[in-house]
Amino acid sequence: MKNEYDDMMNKYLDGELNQTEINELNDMISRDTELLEKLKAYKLVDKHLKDIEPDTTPADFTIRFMERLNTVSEKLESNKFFYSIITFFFISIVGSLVFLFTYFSEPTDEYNKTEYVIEKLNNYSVDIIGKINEYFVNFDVSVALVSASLICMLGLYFLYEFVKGHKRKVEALHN
Amino acid sequence: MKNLSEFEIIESIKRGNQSDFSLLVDRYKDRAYSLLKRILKDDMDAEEALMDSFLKAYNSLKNFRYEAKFSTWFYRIVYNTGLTIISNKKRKIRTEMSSIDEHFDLGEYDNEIYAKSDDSKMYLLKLVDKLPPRNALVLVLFYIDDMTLNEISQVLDISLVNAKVLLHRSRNALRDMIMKHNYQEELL
Repeated sequence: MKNEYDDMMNKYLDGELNQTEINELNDMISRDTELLEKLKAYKLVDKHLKDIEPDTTPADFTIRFMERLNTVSEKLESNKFFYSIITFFFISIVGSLVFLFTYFSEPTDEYNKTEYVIEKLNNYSVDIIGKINEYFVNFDVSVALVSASLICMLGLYFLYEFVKGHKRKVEALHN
Repeated sequence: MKNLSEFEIIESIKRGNQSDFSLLVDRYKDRAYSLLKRILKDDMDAEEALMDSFLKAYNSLKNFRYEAKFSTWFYRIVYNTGLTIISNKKRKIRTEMSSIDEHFDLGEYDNEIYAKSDDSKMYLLKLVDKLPPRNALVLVLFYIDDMTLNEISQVLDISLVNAKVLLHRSRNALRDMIMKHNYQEELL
């Protein structure tokens, strides 16, 4: 029964009681001092909680947060640049290989596919760059291209890491 | 300070004006800090969690579609960040959120808190801090943030009925604390 009145008093505080229920509650508290004390305590809790102000953050919180946000954003931008380089090289390598193996027409019976592509590529290089192709005639050009790409990619990665490390040192000096 | 509406601020940030996010930070930092202090019971943890919450909000803002009020959406991030930190610290959430009856017994220490509290409001807030996180949280959201029970249910991811029950139980707990130690007169 007491719990029922707890619920009723909570609803009273929230303004959810109709007039009949309010009269019933009035009737009960006029006869039961314990219930009256409870209602007083409820009203006290309600009144004081309504007056409470939120806790305040340290004065420089917004400035410190915006500094952290800027740092995080810059890091994200750097990562984007790095990932875009990796993606570019990856697509270039895959694209080159796909091109090599699909651009040329099917090999004849005398050759297997790889040898045919290499020969065609060599011929293609001769047409394009003239005498320079003489250096490549004896090499597997596709392997050379892939190796060069990998070397470039690794070189750029180490360059990127070096620049990043250098930047960090400069920032540490400023701080 | 720019006098922009919340919608204008959010749209401006979405267009790439990162500095405008400071306007949202200024608007919500104190209230969110109050929530986190109730959840984590520690000022330093609350501040760190607040930083994380704002960062998450910034990174997710492009996905905010105005399906709920920004405050509701943001407080949900704050609440989840608080819970994650508790979880990371290997605090047993289940224990902290267990039956409220285990938590509102005032001992000698609480009398000391009362003696040291500057005023009755501060004392009441310290009593709120003694409640389990979700109970304290529902009181802060309802009274300090003026949220409706519907909004509170969205933040805490519970049903409307459960939000209401939680509010009533939290009030009952505070009432019992006050009555048990006969502090009504002092609070009046």
